[in-house]
Formats: sequence, C-alpha cells, structure tokens
Amino acid sequence: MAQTKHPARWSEPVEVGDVLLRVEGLKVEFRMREGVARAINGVSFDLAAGQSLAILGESGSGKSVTAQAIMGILDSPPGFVTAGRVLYRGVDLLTLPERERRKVRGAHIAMIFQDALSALNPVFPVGWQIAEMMRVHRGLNRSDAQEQAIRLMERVRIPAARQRARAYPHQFSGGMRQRVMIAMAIALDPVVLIADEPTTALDVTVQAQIMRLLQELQEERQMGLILITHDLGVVADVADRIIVMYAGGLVEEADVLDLYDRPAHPYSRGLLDSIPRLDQKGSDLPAIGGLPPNLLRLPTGCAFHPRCPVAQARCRVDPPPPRVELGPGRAAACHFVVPDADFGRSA
Amino acid sequence: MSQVILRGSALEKHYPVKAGLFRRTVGQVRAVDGVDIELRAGETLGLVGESGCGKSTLGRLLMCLERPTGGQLEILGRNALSLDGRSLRRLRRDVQIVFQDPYTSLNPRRTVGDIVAEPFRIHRDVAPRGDIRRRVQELLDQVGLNPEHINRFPHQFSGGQRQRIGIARGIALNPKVLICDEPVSALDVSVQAQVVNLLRQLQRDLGLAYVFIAHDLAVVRHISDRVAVMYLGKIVEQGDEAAIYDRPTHPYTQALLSAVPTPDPKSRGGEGQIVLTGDVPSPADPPSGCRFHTRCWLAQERCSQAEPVLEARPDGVGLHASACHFAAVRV
Repeated sequence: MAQTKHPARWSEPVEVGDVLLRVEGLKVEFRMREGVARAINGVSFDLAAGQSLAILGESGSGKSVTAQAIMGILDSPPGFVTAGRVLYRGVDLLTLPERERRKVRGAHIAMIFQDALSALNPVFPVGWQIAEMMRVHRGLNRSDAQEQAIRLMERVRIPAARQRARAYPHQFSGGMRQRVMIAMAIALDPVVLIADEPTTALDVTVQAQIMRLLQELQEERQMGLILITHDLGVVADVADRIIVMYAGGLVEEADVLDLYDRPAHPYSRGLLDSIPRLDQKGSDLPAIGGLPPNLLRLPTGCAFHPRCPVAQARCRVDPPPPRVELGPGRAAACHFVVPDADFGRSA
Repeated sequence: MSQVILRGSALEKHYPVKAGLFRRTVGQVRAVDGVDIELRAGETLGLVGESGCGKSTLGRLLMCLERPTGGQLEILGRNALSLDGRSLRRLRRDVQIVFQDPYTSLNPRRTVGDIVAEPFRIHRDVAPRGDIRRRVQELLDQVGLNPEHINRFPHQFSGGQRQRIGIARGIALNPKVLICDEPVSALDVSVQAQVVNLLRQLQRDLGLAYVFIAHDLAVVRHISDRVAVMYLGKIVEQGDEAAIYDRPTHPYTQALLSAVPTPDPKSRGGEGQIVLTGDVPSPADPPSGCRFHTRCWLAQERCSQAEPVLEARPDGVGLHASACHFAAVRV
C-alpha cells in the first residue's frame, strides 16, 4: 500500500478550485432478507475546494447513503459498495485499508449528522468529546486538548464556552448541540465537510443561525462543503451547485441558478412546482402524483416513469442515458432533454 | 360572517414540575398561558410557532384531550369544561384530530379497516353495524386510497398513505372541526403537496373548519384563512393570512418569516434577513414583561417590565392584532 506516498500529497495546501473529491460510477446495494435494495445506481460528481455542493433528494433517494459511502461508514453488511471509485485528491478511498481510512475521517473529510443528540455520547461532557478528537488524532495532552476544545466552542459561538465545556449533551438545546457537532467536525481542519441534513431537526430561527455559521466557516477555511438536504429553500440559500437524486440515481446536475430557473429533468421541475411559497397564496399545489418507488423493486426503464408527466412508451423500457450534457456543468438523465434547447418551466 | 364554533378565552395549561423525594411541585411549565382564540365554521386557522411554543398543547386543549388549568372553552355554543362524560363524548364527535406522525399514531397490529372503523365503534349510533364496512370503504376512497386495501396493515403503506388513513379516521364522524397537528411535517416534499391538496379538497366538500398547526410557514400560508403566531405560550400576533405574511407588525413574526429560506437562489444574500440570537427561553421560567424581549432587537426598558397586550394595531393598510409596544411594519 502506498502508505507514505498519499499523505505527502495530501499535506500540500489546497487551492481554490482544486478538485478535492471525485465520485465515479458509485453503486451501493443493501443485501437484505427481503431482497437486494439498489440504494445507489451509478452516481458521479466532483467537489472543488471552496465549493458548496448540495445533494437534493427525498427519503430513499440515496443522498445519505452517498455520504456514508464517501465517509466509509456504511453499515456493512447489509450495505456494500459494488462499483465505482471515491477519489480524494487522487487517491481512491475505497481501496484503502481501514487503518488508513480512519486517518482520512475527521482529519480530511468530516461529517455533521442530522440528529446531534444521538451522535454525541450522553455520558461524557461535550468539551471532553471535542478534545478527544485532538487527543486521538493529534496526540495532544489532556489540558492542551481541553483548551483547544474551548477555543473551538467559542469559534462556533457557544456562549460561556469554558463553563459549557463541562456540560453534558442533554443540557444543551438542539441548536447548541448542533454547534457542538460542528465544532467537532472542524476540530482537525478538514478539507471536505459533509453536512447530512444539519438543520432538519431545528426551528427556522435556529436553522438560519446554523446555516450562517456553516457558510462562514466554509469561506474562512475554503473547505469543500457537501450539503445533503431535502429542503429546496436551504439549497437555494447556500449551494453553488446541485445534484438532484431520485431512487438512487442522479437525475440532474446544475449550477444553483440554472436549476431553479430552468430545471431540465421532469422530477426537478415537479419538485420545484410542488412546494408552497411564503410569498404566494395559490390554489392547489401542482403535486407530483404517485409515490417514490420501492428500492427492492425499481421500475423498469426510467425509475421516475410511473410518476412522470411526460413519460412515453420508451421510458418504461429503456433506462435513460445517465448523462445528457446540456451545457457547461449541466447534465440530466432523461430521454427527453435536449442539449441547448429552451427547457423552460413555462412550457 | 359565519358562526363561531370554537371559542377559547384566557385558556391556560400549566404543567407542574415535580422534584425531590416527595415529588413536590417546584414550578410550573406555562405551556399555554392565556390564549384567546376563535374558529369559525368552514375556515382554516393556522397556528405557527417554534417547538415548545405551546401550539400543540393548545390544539389538544381545543378538543378537550387535555383539561385547561384556567380559562373557558366553548364548543358549538356549549361550555365544554362543565360537561359530564357522556355529553363530552357526544361533543367530541364534532371535533376530531389528525396527528403528526403517521408511523406511531396508527396501531400496527390492526388493519386499516379496523383503524378507520374505530370511531364508529365508539360512537355506535352514527352508523348501523352492518353499514360500517361500506362506510369505511367510502372514506378510504374519499381520501384517495384503494377501498380494496381495507384488510391491509399500516406497515404496508407509505408515509403519505398512512397520513391519508389518519385523515380518513379523522373525518369518519363528519366532524365540524379537524385539528391537524403538523399533518405534513413528516412527509417528503412531493407527497406533502398531495396531502395538502387533499385537505383543501375535503374542506371544500365537507365544509370542515381546520385548526392547522405547523412550523412550516409556507404550508400554513397556503392553507390558512387566518393565522395566529405563538411564542412561549402566548399568541403574539393574529390576523388574516395576508396581514400576517405581508404586513407583520410583531418583531418575532418578522424574524420568523425572514428566517425561512426562500427557494429562489436569486433572493440570496440575506439583505434584510433578521438572524435572531439565542434560543427560545424555557416556558418554565419565561422572561418578564414581553416574553420576546430577550431576543428582540427593538427591546427597550419598558419591554422587560410591562407585558404588551394583544390588540388591534395599525399595519399600514388596516388593523390586526399584535402584542408589541412598538408594533410597526418593518420597512
């Protein structure tokens, strides 16, 4: 194993625009008693330094599984990566032995989870838990690590950090707990930060605080940020680029302005149309009919065809081309998108 | 204007906080602390606020699931708090509820048919026994489920379909009021729209009045005629949907609305976005004076001393109720 080679390359400073993470043809399946659930069916994307990439999808779309596969924390069994590569600055993480991979987690790629209460250990003070990162990965002694932890808690604006460091997770509010998670995630100066529904459990006023903090930290450190969410509002607020997932497949990839302006895939279009807006009082919402498919029994052809308003006979039989390039940085997986055409929502 | 069918005056629900060896009461959680509220036939009243503001407790008070510790409650012109068990049960027929979590609010060991038929078994005089099955199938059809699935179990349905089952149960007795406690919060975006549309459809067909409790402000606007905003057990602002969303005069409502991320990347940048500091204080120990003063950027000395009254105040176009000493439309 190239045990000495890749850490050398990784210690070089990151420049804005460098490709940090490249996921290629990733496939994940869960082998269960009921059958094989194909959770991800060939997903590819890049993440550059300083970029915010949103992975948008509903439950079961595979957005969280993608993050778990990148982090190497997939429950296995039943989950298995069956194809693809996850290149972190040129090195395929999927081929690294677990010992090496552990060094990547936290130090290079860190993750924030949705449910901070269950992600934190209830029987240790939060300061101790943040300090543990520094003790284990950096070999700091107890008191230095504790000082660092307090500094991090101040950085994520936890008031009275020195006192609060001795408190336990249950003594924190939801928003403060999420700040602790963020402090932990940035403790080792990661290059890539993955946030899996970081504000879903929070109230809107607290959500606004946390999203602002994340953006600030990202700009300060030029991290690559992957934001996994189902919330089209949050995405519009922070993302540079978006990939939309449906039933384990990537259906559309675009810059944020393009996606909201001119969604190319019928699913993205349906999703945008179906959300109620704060500044509008409409009649009935144009809902997408039907239900997301069961991953154990994916429809033939295009997975979206049973719910698609423009589906034709061909969609039931042929899987759509995985990437129809629609211009620079734009692609969609649909039989009926045309490059350079005006795929406006007005149609 | 249509008839008032639900009226709460000065409603209070305080839960005792017990501690120590003898479980002595050491304090009160003021979940709902003096709320006046009215619901008219056929309308939708939206109830919004952050977690812990008392909106769900208020919903439960309005249908006598919990007994208020203070105040009056009138349902269809009758004093609901002085009724005996039998009359209360009779009255409950007209006020039903749909819960948030379609996974825990349906008994996993009973079929859909049993679940939706339950109200008929409690209120035996509503439908003759032989009619129940047919009636249940009608209800399933009405909420967009296949009537042939009457013998299936809840786990065989998706989240959105389960919420439809909960709605079918809620409308089984032809109530006049349906309390919807976060009915779409647990659902995916694409399915959420279907359920919201279904609720609107049922309202048109059956003339139902809704109390629609939710934290998603966009969904609430979409479905509500009037909206009440709650903070720490009190209503801080109340009015027509357009008044609350377009001309809010209470700083909390303004902050709440501005915190909602807009699904439009062009409106990014957040100029004018208010980011509140801090968390909601504990309802066991609410701040003095105006409860919002600890997080309010307009707060003056007076706000920590005198509690502002919820009363009609000018909003630039007309008047609507707001509880702020400095109520004004933000420019």
